[in-house]
Amino acid sequence: MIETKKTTETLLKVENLKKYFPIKKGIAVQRYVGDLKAVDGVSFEIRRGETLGLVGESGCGKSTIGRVILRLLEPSKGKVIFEGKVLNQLSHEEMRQMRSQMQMIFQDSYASLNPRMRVGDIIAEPILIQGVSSRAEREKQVCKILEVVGLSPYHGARYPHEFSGGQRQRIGIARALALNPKLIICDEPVSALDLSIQAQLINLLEDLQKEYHLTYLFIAHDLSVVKHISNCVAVMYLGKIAELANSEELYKNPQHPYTIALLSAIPVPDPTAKKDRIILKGDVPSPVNPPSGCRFHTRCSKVQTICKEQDPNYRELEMIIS
Amino acid sequence: MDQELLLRVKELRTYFYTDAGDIKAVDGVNLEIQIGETLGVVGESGSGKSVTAMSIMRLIPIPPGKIVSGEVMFNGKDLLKASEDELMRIRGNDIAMIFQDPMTSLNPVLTVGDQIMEAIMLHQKAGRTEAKKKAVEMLKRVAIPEAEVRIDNYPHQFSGGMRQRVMIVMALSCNPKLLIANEPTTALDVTIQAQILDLMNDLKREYGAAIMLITHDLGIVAELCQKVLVMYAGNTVEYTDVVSLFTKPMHPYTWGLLGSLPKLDVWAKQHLEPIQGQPPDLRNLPQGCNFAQRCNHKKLICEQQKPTWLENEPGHFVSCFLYEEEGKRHD
Repeated sequence: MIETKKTTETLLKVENLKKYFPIKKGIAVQRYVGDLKAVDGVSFEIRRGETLGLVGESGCGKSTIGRVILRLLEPSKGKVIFEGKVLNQLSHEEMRQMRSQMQMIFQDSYASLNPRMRVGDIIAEPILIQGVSSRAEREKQVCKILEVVGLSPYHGARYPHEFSGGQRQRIGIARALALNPKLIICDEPVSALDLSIQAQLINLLEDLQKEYHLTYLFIAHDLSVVKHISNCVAVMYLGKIAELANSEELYKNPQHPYTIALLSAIPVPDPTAKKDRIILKGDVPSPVNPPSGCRFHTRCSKVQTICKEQDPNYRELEMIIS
Repeated sequence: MDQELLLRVKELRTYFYTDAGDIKAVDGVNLEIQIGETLGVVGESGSGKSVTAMSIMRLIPIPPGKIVSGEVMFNGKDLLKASEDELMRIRGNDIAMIFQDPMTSLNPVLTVGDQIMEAIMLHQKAGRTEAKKKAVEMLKRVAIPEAEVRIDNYPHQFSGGMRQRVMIVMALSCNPKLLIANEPTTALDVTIQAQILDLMNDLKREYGAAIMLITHDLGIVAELCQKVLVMYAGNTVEYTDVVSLFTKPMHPYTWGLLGSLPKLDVWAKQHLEPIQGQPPDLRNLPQGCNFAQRCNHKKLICEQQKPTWLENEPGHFVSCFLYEEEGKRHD
């Protein structure tokens, strides 16, 4: 499936992106005491029609990246380039128009759908904001989108609480699709769902990608789901990308000790499989005060003296062929 | 065979009577756990896994809940008929439980040490000093660094993985014969999950407790369990040893679960085959098999009658009309 797509055009490029959250202390007078380095120098690109998987443990900065790309959060440093335009330089109005090209699907479909709005209105709202003023036209579009995501037009008249988790996530997808976006940022879209429902939605996302030539940034912590859906995978640890490779390559031949440990930690649903598991000791260090040198050195099994002193360069070992 | 039997649940039914209707959360559960064995209980949300565990411990809030019928034989005693005093002695002592969310199951205003010591002092009639010594020892055993200091910390000073270790310590402090672990690693990251699973495996060998592991992760089942029970909409649909479940699953629901699983070791592009539709409303269960409306193999009878729980092959139980002719009745 990878070979058939010969478009090498880059849709989204992220260059040395950083997002620091200032930490303040004091009740009356707030003083600045340091930074939480949520994202600390991340670069990657996604080609049109492909999926980049972003994996990592909680707190590694994967969701922050998604938000910074859409400028829901302003980056502290670095650039986000979408179709050749540097997003951080756009004015508020230009960015608003640009957002019709890039949409987001959230993990928690309870929290991301307004409980007081009918599903039809939720999906119609982005269409309205982007300037389709005829009600009949909007309703026509909503019906079409509902069918695309596997719901029926009559569902539009209901409220979010009348749906199951899987159906609500379909509504979230429908809302993201309403404006025919080019890029969809999926932030843990299936993590909260049961296995059989999860598989339905993964298939739906894949079908939609083929049909509408969508590009996904797929953020998740489940490595098997990410492998299934992604062309390339980036593994994050404490605000940095530890390893980025073609999906098959990453899983067959992981290079970074963190990736190796992470892959070995996944329980394999095969009782006869042989496991030599690498158990990482301790917890992930705090991003407020990350370890010196390589951030992984405190838990790495192959740690050397240099690891504690110098931050390793992020460089290309082999060309990514996909 | 029978003297090794630790727990047998037969035709357990637990209903909840609510204003919105009667919810048949557990509606015919059968299972067996031998001494020292690990049983994995898998199923989707709302399939009745947790209610089964709570019913075994008799922790169902009454009302609205009620254990309608069934039998829970633990060590030769029917827990459903036991008095509250007898239950007090069994809970914590013989059967212990670990919950999914270690933040809400630890008391935030008591130190970790106090909570571990409470269990030891209550069940083993130990004094404070002795209990503290044992608590430190146990914390060291589960690899909490600086256990002597950390024992006086509060739960919020612990990370998620460490809190779950504390829960494990509390559960194991009285050497239970059966440990019920309800989604013990679901809230944890995969590297921390690996630590906890590894620890549970070690402790199981050391203490010899049987474990009833409730999970929705088939990977964890494959790695940790000897037997597996698959639940769907309050019923047990399949029970067998772990290898048979993965190599020759019998129930169409199990087929569907395995087909929904994205695999890490398959290199060719895999096409997932999900189960269509969604689980039935527990207030309004179908007349026939609960799985019939989503089943690709349904026959006419599936929509009219409930299938029986049959031992289709030795040790392999399934409740499905596909096997009803060949099988023998099990009761």
